[in-house]
Amino acid sequence: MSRLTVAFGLALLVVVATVCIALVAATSDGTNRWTTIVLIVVVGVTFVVSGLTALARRRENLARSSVTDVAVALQGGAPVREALADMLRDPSLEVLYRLDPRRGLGGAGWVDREGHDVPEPEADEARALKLVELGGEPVAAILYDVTLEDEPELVDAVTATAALAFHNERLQAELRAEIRLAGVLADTTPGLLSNVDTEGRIIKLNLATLMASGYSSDEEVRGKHFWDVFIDPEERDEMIARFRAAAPGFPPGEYENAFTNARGERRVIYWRSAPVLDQHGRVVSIVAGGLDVTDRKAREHEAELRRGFLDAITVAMPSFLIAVDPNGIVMEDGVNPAFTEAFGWSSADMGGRSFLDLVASEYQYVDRMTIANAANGVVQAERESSWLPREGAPRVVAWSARPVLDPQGRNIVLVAGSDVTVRRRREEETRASEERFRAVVDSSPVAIVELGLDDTVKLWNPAAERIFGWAAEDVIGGEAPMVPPDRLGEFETLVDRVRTGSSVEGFETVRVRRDGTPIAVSVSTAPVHDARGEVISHMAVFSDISDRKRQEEELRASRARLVEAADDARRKLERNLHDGAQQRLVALSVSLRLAESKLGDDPATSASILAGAREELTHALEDLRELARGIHPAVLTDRGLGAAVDALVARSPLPVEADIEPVPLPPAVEAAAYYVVAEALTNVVKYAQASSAVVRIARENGMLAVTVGDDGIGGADPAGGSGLRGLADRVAALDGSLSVASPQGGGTAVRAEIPLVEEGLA
Amino acid sequence: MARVLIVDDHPSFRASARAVLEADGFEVVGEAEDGESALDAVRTLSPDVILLDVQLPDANGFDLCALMCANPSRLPSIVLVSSRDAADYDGLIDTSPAKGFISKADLTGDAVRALLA
Repeated sequence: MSRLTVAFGLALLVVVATVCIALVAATSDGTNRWTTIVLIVVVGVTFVVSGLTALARRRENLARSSVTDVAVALQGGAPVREALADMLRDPSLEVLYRLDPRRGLGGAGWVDREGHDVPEPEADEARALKLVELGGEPVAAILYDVTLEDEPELVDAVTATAALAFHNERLQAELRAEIRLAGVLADTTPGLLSNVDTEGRIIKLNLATLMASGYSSDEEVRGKHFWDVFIDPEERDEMIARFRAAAPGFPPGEYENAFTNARGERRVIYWRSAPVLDQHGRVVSIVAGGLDVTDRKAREHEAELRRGFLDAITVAMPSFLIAVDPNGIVMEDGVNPAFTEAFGWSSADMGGRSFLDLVASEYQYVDRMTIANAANGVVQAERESSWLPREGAPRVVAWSARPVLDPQGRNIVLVAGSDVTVRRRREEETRASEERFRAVVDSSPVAIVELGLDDTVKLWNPAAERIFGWAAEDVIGGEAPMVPPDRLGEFETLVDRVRTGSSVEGFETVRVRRDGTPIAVSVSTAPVHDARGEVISHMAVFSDISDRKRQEEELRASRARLVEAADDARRKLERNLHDGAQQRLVALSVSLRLAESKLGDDPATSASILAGAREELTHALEDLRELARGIHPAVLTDRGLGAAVDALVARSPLPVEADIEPVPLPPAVEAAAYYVVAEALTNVVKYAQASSAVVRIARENGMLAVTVGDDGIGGADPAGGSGLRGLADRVAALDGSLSVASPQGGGTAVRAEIPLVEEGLA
Repeated sequence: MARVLIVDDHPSFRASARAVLEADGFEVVGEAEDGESALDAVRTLSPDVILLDVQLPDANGFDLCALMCANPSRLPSIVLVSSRDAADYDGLIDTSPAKGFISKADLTGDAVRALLA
């Protein structure tokens, strides 16, 4: 309602009220006054009602005429906005469409008539807003001049009439929005999209297709035959024939082609095509969608090369490769040639069999676990087990299992192994050899010491500990401690010789023990070479030759004593001959010469001299016999040990008991035994103050045992007296031994043991 | 008559030598059995001739000979004797101040006289 109408109404009401009050005031009596008032009210009400009714009718008429005009205009094909603008006399009127949120494609926003997105419309000072609804949903919004607010009925009536038209226009707006979206999508997708007519001419293509073509703008390609753009010259004829063969239905199809584009780039495109039909089912164009697979093809090619490379490795590598499924079943074609060559099982033999069939039973449990763990994605550490070839002895294989994907993308386990049988055996042999070496070194009675090039001790065996007194842990890693300072020069010379590769054998020198005492040793050294023949250390073997040295010394002394004894004996013999028989013979010679000179003149004196000479000769003979007995008793030579000892016993001034086992003896043993008895009995007589003696000669344990005992005072010193020492030497020369037991007051026993080494004697 | 001292450790030889030399006209004035007693006898008996054994228990005849000849006032004539051969002494006899050497087996008064002449 307009402000003019309201002002007019109010003015009229004031006039009527003034008249009514005047009439009421003019009426003097009460009854007439009430009649006047009622009359005025009735007239007023009647007037107001008739006025309002006329107003409503007028508006209805107005609305009806506008609706009719709008309907007529719309029927005539005019756009809703123009029709509404005319009816409402507002050329600035704007219509916006709300997209159907259920359709999704265009979203749920607002668009203008061209389908462009706009913000949600709002009323402002200049323009009012009217939402147009159909079936309870907004389909459009009308923005119109605020002056039209005075006639809301008009606006309502007109827009209500246009609602159906708005719905139609909204659908068109939605279609426009979708088309626009499709255009954007087509130009932003990395996929190729093109549209060609039934003659094969390019109508439209998206940005990706344009880029693939190598051209820079739509104009350059639009209207060209697609085969001139996307097919290499040599394949064009075939493509044209195929395209024409597909007419007129142009059924959906696929095609992959490689071509060189306008920029000279090699592209590979995978195309799919489908026809676009009009409402009558006729093909109006063909849409082809494509994927540029150039890069993928390149990757596939690369992958193929890599697979080829891996296949070559698999075939050529000396390690065994077995592909098994997670249950341990060998895959088809699942073993490599190296495996077949080593084990005699081909791919055909192994395919479908359990890997565990290959494994010796004692390894199967752990190997099963290994495969299972690998199948679960855990890379397994290398292990060793015994694998059974088709023929021959089991082989020791070091292998590992790791999870991999096969070309089909399945989880499998790759078992990779190598034959370590020989290596293991060699290791075993090496270990055994080292064990033997260690055993030899440890049990060796000689000291074995290894010295590195830096002169530090690397090996020090138990014999070295025993001989030198240092424990291995005290010396290993340090310098050799047993070289005395005054032998360092000699030691260096020795080491230098060995380092140049020479060996030294049986070098006799002196080393020191831990307690500082010197020890005579024999050293043999040899260099230790590495695999390249370089000297890396040297071994020195030390024998303790103290005992040998002492024995040598004793032997030398014994020999000297024997020589001396022999010299003494010869000197004594010479003296005895000289002093005894020789003097007698000299005297005899002088006497005979004297007797001879007296023979003629003085026969009596001569006879007397001759008688003296005869007596002298008898003495000389006795002397010679005694002498001969001292050199070697004739009875021993003629009648053996028993008779000789009997003779000694018979000559002894003491009672002697003799117990002599008759044993056939070599002359040297017999003589030694005889002299032991003779010397011992002489000593008994000279020193023992004994009342009797006993002589025993018997064979005991391969030895001849000679014992001479007495019941005398004892206390004899075995080392004293050249007689006993001479006897000991004589016995030692026959590898025998002489012992003297002579406790004070307990008698003396001399015992000689002489080995009976000659065959048949022992 | 030459006065002779016999020095020898063997009594049987001393007896034989005395018999032979006395039979051959020598006067045997004494006997000694070793070096020490021989030196005493030389001092007390002053013999003209000493029959001296080369091999005595306490001395050898060559040393003893040199000792006896060290006294220049009286030089006895010394004749060395031995049961050995002269060759056994290898030139010692020639350098000795003794008159000469007689093997005991060859001892006669003539042999001694021949050396003293």
